[in-house]
This record gives sequence, C-alpha cells and structure tokens, in this order.
Amino acid sequence: MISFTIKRFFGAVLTLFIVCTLTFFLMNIVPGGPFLSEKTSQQTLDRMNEKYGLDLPIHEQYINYMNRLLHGDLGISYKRQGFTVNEIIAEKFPVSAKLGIIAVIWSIFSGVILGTAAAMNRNKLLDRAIMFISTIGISVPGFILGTLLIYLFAEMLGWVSATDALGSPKQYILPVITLSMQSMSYIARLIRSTILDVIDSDFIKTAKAKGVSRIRIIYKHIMRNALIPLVTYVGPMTAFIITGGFYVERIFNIPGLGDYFVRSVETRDYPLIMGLTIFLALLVIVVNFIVDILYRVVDPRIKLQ
Amino acid sequence: MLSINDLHFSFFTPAGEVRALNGVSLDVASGEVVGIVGESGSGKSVTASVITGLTQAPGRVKSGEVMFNEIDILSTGEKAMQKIRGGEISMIFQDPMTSLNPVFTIGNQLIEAILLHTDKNHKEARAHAIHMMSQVGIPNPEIRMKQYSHELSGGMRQRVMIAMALSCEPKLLIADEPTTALDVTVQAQILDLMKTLRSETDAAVILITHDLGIVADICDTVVVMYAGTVVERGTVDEIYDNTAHPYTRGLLDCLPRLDGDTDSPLEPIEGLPVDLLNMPPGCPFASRCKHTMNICLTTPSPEFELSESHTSRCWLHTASRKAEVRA
Ligand SMILES: Nc1ncnc2c1ncn2[C@@H]1O[C@H](COP(=O)(O)OP(=O)(O)OP(=O)(O)O)[C@@H](O)[C@H]1O
Ligand SMILES: [Mg+2]
Repeated sequence: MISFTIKRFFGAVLTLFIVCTLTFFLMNIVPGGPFLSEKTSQQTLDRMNEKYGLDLPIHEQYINYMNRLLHGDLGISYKRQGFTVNEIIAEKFPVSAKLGIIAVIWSIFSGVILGTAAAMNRNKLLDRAIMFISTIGISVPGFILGTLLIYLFAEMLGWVSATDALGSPKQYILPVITLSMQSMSYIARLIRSTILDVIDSDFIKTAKAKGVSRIRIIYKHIMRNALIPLVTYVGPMTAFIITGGFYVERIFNIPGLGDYFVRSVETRDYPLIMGLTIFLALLVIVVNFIVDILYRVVDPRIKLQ
Repeated sequence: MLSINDLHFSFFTPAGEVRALNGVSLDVASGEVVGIVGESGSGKSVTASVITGLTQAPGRVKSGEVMFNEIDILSTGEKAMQKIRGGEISMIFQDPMTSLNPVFTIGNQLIEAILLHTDKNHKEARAHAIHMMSQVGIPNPEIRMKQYSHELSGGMRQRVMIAMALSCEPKLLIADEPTTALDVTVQAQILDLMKTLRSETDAAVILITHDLGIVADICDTVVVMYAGTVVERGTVDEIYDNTAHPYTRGLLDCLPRLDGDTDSPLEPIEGLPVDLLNMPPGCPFASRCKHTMNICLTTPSPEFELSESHTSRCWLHTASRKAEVRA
C-alpha cells in the first residue's frame, strides 16, 4: 500500500510536469497574445510585454514559470486585474464543484437504477425504452441538449429562468441534466451489460440454491460485481464532467471555473490558462488515485502493487 | 422422501420445443445415495433444477409430480421454495472455480447460508461455519474464512461448497458432477470426503455424474437416463452385474476396466444422442441400439419390472424375460 502510494505519487508528479510543459508551449504556439487589440499602441504593447516578462526568450519564460509554480504561485491574471490565479480558483471553483458533484452523483444514481431496471426486464419494453434513451443520451452533444432544454423549459414553458444561474435549487435541474446525460447513459448501459453477464454466472446459481431471495441476490451478489466496472468509469467520468462543465456553464450563464477557462483561452490570459489546466489536471489525477484505491476495495482479486 | 412421477419438461425455444424430460420417474429414500448417470444432454441437470425449483427461462414443466416429504414442489411458491433451498435441499455444482462469488469472503458466503436457514445469530453462525469447514477437511478454517475464492485451490473451493451445502443439515443433497472439473487426485480426495460424510450425516444424496466408476464406489442405487427418460434403474449390483438395458451396457463398455480384464476393448456408444427437438416416435435409443427391432421404431417401451428394485425400458424384455443383455 505504501509503495503503491509512493509510486503513484511520482507518477502524478511526472504527469503534471508533462501537462504543464505541453500546455505552456502549445499556448505559445497559438498565434495572438494577451494584449493584442487594435486600440493598443506598439508602445503600450511593449510595456505590457516587458512587465509580464513576455519579451524574454520562450525558454526563459518557461523556466521562470516553472520556478514560480514550484513555490505554489500560479501568477496574476492579465485580464482580471489585481487578482491572482489562486484567488480566482478559490472563488470560482466551489460553484463548478457543486454543480459537478451533483452531476456525478446524479449520473451514478440514475444510471445504476436505469441499468438495473433494463437488465431485470431484458428485451422487454422497459429495457428497449431505456436503451433507446441512453443511445440518444450518449450521442447528443451536451451543448445541443442544453440549448434545447433552455428553449423548451425556459423560453417556451417558462418553468425556470434562463438567466438566473443557480439562483435557486430549481435552477440546478437543467444544467445537471445537461451535464450528466452522457455519463448517465453510459453508466446505464454499462450496468445493464455487467448485470446480464453476472446474472447467468455459476455463483448466482449457488446463491439461488442457498435460498437467497431475488432482491438480495440483486443488491448483494450482483450489484457488488457490477460496481467494479462502474468504479473504473468514475475516472473518465470526472474528466468528462469537467470538460462538459465548460460549455454547460457557458450555456446556462453560470459564473464558474469552466466559463473562465473558455474565456481565458479566448483572451490569451496565459497565467489563467496555465493555472486552470494544472488545477484541473491535478483534480483528475487525484480522482484517479482515489478510484485506484476504491477499485481494489471492491475487487479483492486485485492487489495493490 | 423424494418422489418424482412422470415428469415432462420442455424448453420452448424459437427453434421449437426441446423436450428435455419425457416422463422421468424416480424415488429417493431418506439416507439413500442415488446416482444419476447418462450422456451429456440426457436431462440430469434439468431434473435437478426442477427438484430445487430453479428451472431456467424458456423451460417449463408440462406435467408430472415432484413430492418432497409431502410437499408438492411444483405448486410451492417462490418464498416457500427459498426456505427449502439451502435448508432442506441443497446443491453442489460442477465448477468450484466459478461457483463462489469472487467479491465476498468465503466466511461471508458460508455465514449467509447459515443465517438464512437457522436461528443462529451472527457469532454462532460464524462458529458453525468454522466447524463445517474443519469437518470437510479444510485446514486453518479461521484463516480461510477471511480469504476470497481466488485464494483457494479448486479442491478447497469444492470443499467449501460442500461445507456450505451441508451447513444447514439438509435432508437431500444434490451434487451435480461435483468432481468433473477437478484433476484426478483432487477428484479422489473429494470422493473420499463424500464417502466419509455419507456415513456421518443422514442426508440423502443425488449424485449426478458421467462416471459409472464413481457411482459404483459411492451409490446405493443407480438411475440411468437417456434423452429425458429413465431407461434403467436398480441397485448398484443389479446395474453392474445384471445390466438390462443396451444403453447401460454401452455406458459400461466405455469404462476402462480396473480388474485386469483387457480382452474386451473400450467401446464408445456409436451415433449421436437423439435430437430433442424432433423426438422419434419409438424408443429414443433405437437409432443407436444393436438390438433394434421393428417395435422399437414405432412404440416407446414401457417400464419392465425385473425385480422389486430393478426396472428397464426395453422391448427386449418381452422377448426374453431375462434381464441380461449381452453385447
Ligand atoms: N436454457 C436452455 N434452453 C434450451 N435448452 C436447454 C436449456 N438448458 C438445457 N437445455 C437442453 O436440455 C437438455 C438436457 O440438458 P441437461 O443440462 O439436463 O443435460 P445433462 O444431462 O445435465 O448434461 P451434462 O452431462 O452435459 O451436464 C439438453 O439437450 C440441453 O440442450
Ligand atoms: Mg448437467
């Protein structure tokens, strides 16, 4: 366990390093710069570039950045004057995190229930309906679904407001549905197919022969096995929901991190791009680490090493 | 104690009706060990599934009766069957490698069975589980309790299955090819164990197997099945020494002889098992039999009683009332 953790820690540091380096250089390859706009004179531009060290050769910029990063300093935003990137993350992340966590929980909860219901009614109408909906859920991009939902429930029916982002619990419904649709659909299919794999296995026959009730067979003997592939999906799902958050926050006017991320790229706010990328990468790494531990808890056949 | 009467069971598949059981009758007395033998597909496992009420989806009992200690199994509801399963009737399956749930400890699965069918509390159930494990010859049962099935060898897993099956003192134990998936030395150990347990418990046993050698070793009586019917049944001595049905003769000829008689070569039964989708009108074995007569092709043979305990379904018995069929 300890050597596993140490190995994973170094793996994580290496991954982060690669993410930082790649982002840094990719960002600089993209044409344009933070202070380029028609109104600024060449003089102002030079002054700004000098102030932020953008006039230095690229490798020096890189070394400076990495040096600051090592001290936990993500720099100052170019565009949101006077705020450090750390402050922006601290302010905006809770909004995104709340939405994301609700979406993750909802994906798992509804996905598991739908998948189980489908498997228990294999090839019947309910199963077909759930599989149909989940096929659509997987293939319709979130921004289309979100726009559709807004049009239907905010514009036409007026049940929720299109502008009052997350103002009341009711306002969470559409963003959460939009954000969780794909992972919910995926989980429903995953759970369905694993249950169908497990349900005919010998150990279920044993459980039945022991006199275990049908309900208990489902929630104890089958579910515990079906959880294994579900747990492995939690890692990719987190990444999914983070990236999904970008456009969901845009569409629903939610002032979270995702919206900032998109805007930071548009405005070439280098420190903010870097800071957010590193932060989100770290988040995914941490989640994956937890998943690895969890995976070994649900599946005793896997040893920590 | 168990009495099956003229049981008909079919799988209604898209390809047609698979007649898995065509009038099976058999009796098991308390404490008796009955062997069911027959080629693959003869309906041995299906018979077991009907007894435990665990029949599979497109399959349905068409007619017949299964009585277990005055209980009519076929009309017993699922809730009541759950009490019987694992309590009064328990089962051991063929493949111990896959018969235990991989994500729960051995102890968890043993205790679950005990809690379901006794009034023991968790602590007592645990103690009983450990006791059962040592009874089936598992060393260090306390440690084994905390292990998962992948940490045990095939033989150990089958011992766990046996411990689990016996843990609630069943009146009937059905073992469906309990040694087929094991290698030969382990097979011998498990059979030894079953023999020992035989004398220690008073449970009746139905032992399903392909192997007539095993049957001779452990069983009191033998039921020979072919194409969903019982073609011959009798005591072990009757079946081996007074073989009546040509099919049984064929099965015995497939056995390597251990008594040094190497003159008669091993002879597999020729031909393929009958197609259960298109059952012939007469004796199902007629197409493979060396003694086929005209009547065999048109009318299935009734059951001829050769002694009080010995019956056989073969028209040959009308010709010679003699029970022996010489190959
Ligand atoms: N779920 C099912 N659907 C359709 N047919 C089935 C099903 N299960 C069993 N059968 C058929 O029923 C017949 C009897 O099967 P059964 O499993 O009882 O054979 P068996 O004597 O136990 O054979 P084996 O020695 O191979 O275990 C076989 O012909 C099989 O093809
Ligand atoms: Mg079988």
